[in-house]
Amino acid sequence: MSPSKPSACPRCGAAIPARAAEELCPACLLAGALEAPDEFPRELGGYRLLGVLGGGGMGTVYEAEQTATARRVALKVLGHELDSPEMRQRFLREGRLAAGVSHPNSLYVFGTEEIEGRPVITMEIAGGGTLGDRLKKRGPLPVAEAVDAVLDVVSGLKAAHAAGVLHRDIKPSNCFVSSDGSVKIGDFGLSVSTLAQDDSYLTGTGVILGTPAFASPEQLRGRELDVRADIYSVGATVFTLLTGKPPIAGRNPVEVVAAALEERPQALTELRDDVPAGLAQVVARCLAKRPEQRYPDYAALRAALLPFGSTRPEPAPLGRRLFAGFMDVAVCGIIPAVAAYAFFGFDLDDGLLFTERSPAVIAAWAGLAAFFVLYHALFEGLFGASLGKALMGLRMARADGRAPGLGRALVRSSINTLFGNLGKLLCFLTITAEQYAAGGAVVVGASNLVAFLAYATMRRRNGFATVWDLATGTRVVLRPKRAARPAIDVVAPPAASASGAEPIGPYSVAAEVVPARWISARDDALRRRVWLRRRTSELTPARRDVARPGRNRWLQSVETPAATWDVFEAPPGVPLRDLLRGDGGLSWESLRHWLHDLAAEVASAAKDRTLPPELGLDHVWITAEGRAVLLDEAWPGGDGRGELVAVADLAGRQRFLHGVAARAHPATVPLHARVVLDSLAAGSFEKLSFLVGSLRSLLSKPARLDRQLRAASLLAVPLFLMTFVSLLVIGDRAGGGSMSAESGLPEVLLIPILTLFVLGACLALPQLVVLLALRATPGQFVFGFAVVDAAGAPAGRARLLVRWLIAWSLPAAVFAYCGWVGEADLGGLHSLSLLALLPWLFGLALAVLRPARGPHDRWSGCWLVPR
Amino acid sequence: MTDPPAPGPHGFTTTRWSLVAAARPDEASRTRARAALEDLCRAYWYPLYAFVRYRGHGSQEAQDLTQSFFARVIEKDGFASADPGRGRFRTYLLGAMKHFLANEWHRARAQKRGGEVRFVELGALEPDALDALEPARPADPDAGFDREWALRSTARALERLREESERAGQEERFEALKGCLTGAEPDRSETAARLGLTAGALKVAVHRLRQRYRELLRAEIAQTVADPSDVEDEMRHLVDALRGETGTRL
Repeated sequence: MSPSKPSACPRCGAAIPARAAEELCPACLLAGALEAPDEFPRELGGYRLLGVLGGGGMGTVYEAEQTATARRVALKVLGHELDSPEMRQRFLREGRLAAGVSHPNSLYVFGTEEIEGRPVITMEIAGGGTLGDRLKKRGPLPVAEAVDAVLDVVSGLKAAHAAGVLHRDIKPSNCFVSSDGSVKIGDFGLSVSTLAQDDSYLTGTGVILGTPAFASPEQLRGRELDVRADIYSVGATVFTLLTGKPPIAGRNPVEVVAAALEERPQALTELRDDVPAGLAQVVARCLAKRPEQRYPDYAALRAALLPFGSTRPEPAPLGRRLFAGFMDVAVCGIIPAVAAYAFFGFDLDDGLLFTERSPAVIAAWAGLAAFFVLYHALFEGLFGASLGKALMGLRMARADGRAPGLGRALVRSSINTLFGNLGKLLCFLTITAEQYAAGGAVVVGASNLVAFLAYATMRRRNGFATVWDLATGTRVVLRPKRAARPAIDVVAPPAASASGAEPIGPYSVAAEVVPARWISARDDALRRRVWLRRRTSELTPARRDVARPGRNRWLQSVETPAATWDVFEAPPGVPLRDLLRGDGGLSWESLRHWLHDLAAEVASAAKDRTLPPELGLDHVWITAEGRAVLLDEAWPGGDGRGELVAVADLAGRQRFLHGVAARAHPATVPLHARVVLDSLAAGSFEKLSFLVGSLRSLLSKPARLDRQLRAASLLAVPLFLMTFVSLLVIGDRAGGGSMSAESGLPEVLLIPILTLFVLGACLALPQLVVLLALRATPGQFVFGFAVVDAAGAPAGRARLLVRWLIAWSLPAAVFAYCGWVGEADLGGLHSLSLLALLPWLFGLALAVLRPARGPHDRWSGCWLVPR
Repeated sequence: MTDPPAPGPHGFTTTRWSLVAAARPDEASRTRARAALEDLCRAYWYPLYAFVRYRGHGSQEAQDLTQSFFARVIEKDGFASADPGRGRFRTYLLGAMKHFLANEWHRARAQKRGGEVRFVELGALEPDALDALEPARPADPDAGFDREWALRSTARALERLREESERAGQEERFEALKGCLTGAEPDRSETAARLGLTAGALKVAVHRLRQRYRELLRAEIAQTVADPSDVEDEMRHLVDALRGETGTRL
């Protein structure tokens, strides 16, 4: 009898020996019997096991309660069947890598230990199962829900990457849902460090690392990996959440691997109708076979996913939309007009259209309209925004947030163009050349007003939809802004004990924060920093259980003959006081996050009675990721700035938070935030939750003026006017041209000087009048910024006048010289005088580069802040 | 061959190997010990036979040697040299066989030629069946022996579980669910439908089968160690032996 081919164990993958009874893998039979019976509750070391949460890559995860503290944890126990020195090493490394990531979207690791000879990782319990469970239970998820979940995953992965960890095994069953609905990444069983040189790339022979259906081609090939491998897995995860099956499938792992290397996954849109084409493109880009074709980093991926999440984009403010329109008309007007004149000698003037009515003129007009249509269709269809909209921070979206797509954009811009030319078209069909000459021109001009009919449908409730918006189901919306926390630089703490002090429990002492009471130490097994605080009074169970980003977690207690130490997480960072050294204060952009963190933490701590009785600035710790953490005890070395406030009541809590808010540089605080801060200063919030809500809403508003908007605010009107002037001059030249002769200016100077004139007449002078009357210009409202003084208050008239004079003096001088000297110009100084505009243009560039404070703002003692 | 008593909720206090290892010189004790040893030897003859094959002996010769070894160990009170400190039947048996092969095999072979002992009925097996049972040759014969030992322990517990199921008229259920004993999860809905069980009842059935196998396997292994607290350690050792290497067929 010839031996039959050994089959593989479905559980461990090893070949089943020919003589194995019942064709069952004997090793798994033994290992299965070694596992303690799955009866709950039962004891394991210092824990009471309450149930099985799941089987991770390397063992079983139990829900457990720490007997001594009653804290609920997840306990990951290395499986017997996997117990080998190599697996042990990998298992403990998992703990170490995961412990390096402390982020609200990553499961927190409390520690590692050995119980009954088996390595165990103690972790935070998420409580809501995994995304894989959710998928099994409910089937494919709604688009926005899936995207929201994955955005959380991306945040967690970003933090992991910042901590130097590549996850390498992202899939729905490794994404854990917490009780508040947020999603946390876990199971760092296959992760590697991108930093530690000694962290070798551990692979068992013949062991496939990763889950083939979710692993990138380079991972399956065993090549070197970077963040883009995890991005691939994120794409596969979105795909699975939306369709219920992974992008790459096969009957066995070999088929899956072959398909993952060769085959292109099916397009999401083919599998599910309601998946936006834009999202399908994002996922397809994540799943690109070559890493360089994927998103380069998490910031880019996040920005791409954001429009498809549940956060609905805000409708574009009308002012910005109007300016975007100006800019687009400038682009669509000047380019074809110049081209038509330069190449064909056509003057695109209404008069010619009506008087000549030649096919050539009609064709030119049709060409212009076609250009307008194509310009919008292409830019908005392909990129989601025309140049003007992009510059104004706007984009096009369908009602569900998707990009419009080429076809829809084409229909939309055709309707738009039709309305824009409707009046003219009607006139062209009804008015003869003679009638036009005899006063019909006025009618034609007036007929252009028909275009405004299209705007009659705009209502707040329909997202300010015009006729073409309604017809195509599209809207113009604000491009979502990322309110990313600015990270801070942290000097690495001393790595080892400087004093040669005895270790306390498993922790080696690094430094004493407060002698004999507060010690900065290092957990060598997990390679992370901890704080040890000598216990003077028992910690409340509530404090031990705190698992909020605004508070450092309690890890365990350690008994020494001399004292009991409570061990806390010590997130890398600095005390807030260290950031206050230097001038002015903190920028609002950072401080607003910290203020919100602290307010949320104070509100939560007040509820579960874990708030220290007194708080001051020295109780605030800022982590390297830019999160504020409330310390239980003041960081030592306060110099009087950290005055303590009793926070037993609401007034005290507001006083403490106001103390933090007051550290903002006043001239960086936007006007919209001043209202909230003033109320805080007055202690007028009736509940802390109201304050938290107000501060949260501030996070979604701009914290500073960005370059793009500043450029738009400086250039939109001048560009439009220049287009207008250029068209005038071109028209004049086409008609035989008398402007140059009349003004006495050389041809080359006509456009710049006329533009200056129009700028002065249409912009600068009206601006001065309005400024002096209202202390603000309409442009500031449209672009959403305000001019403030050093104290953060809206700048006074005198200051605004100075600022205006600085801004306009140079062009005024040039214009005055050229305009007044005119024909009497000696030696062509006209042209040279234009050189005087160079510093002005340079100042303009500087104002764009430093949007919060251009040269004219600086010299007049002003700052620009969002309104 | 008698099976060990089925473990009850209280487990065992005296195992077969502890009887052997702690045998006192009085006749009653020796008789009990001999019976216990005989049982064990019958159960675990194959790993020893395989070990002899690993050492390079032909199939027929290995059968003869194994027979002789058992005869000698049991008939000649070989267990008197058992060291309770070593704790395990497996290690004792291997040590004794090595000693036997080094010093006494030629004498034993002469005795065999006299045809006096047929301890294990190898002849009852068809030559083809024996061929199929040929062990793979491992790099390390000791490890190979442990591996065969582990296979035998798990198989014996499985045999008992099957017998129990058959007695209870649940043969079909055993067939359908035995795969779960390795920790694998069955296709719940399909299996439940096939067995005519509700999902809850299936879960309970899987749980019970696993529980029972765990008891039987532990009981089996407990028979070969002197101290019941060594059971887990022995099991771990056997898992390691199984995970160690695969060997090549002879």
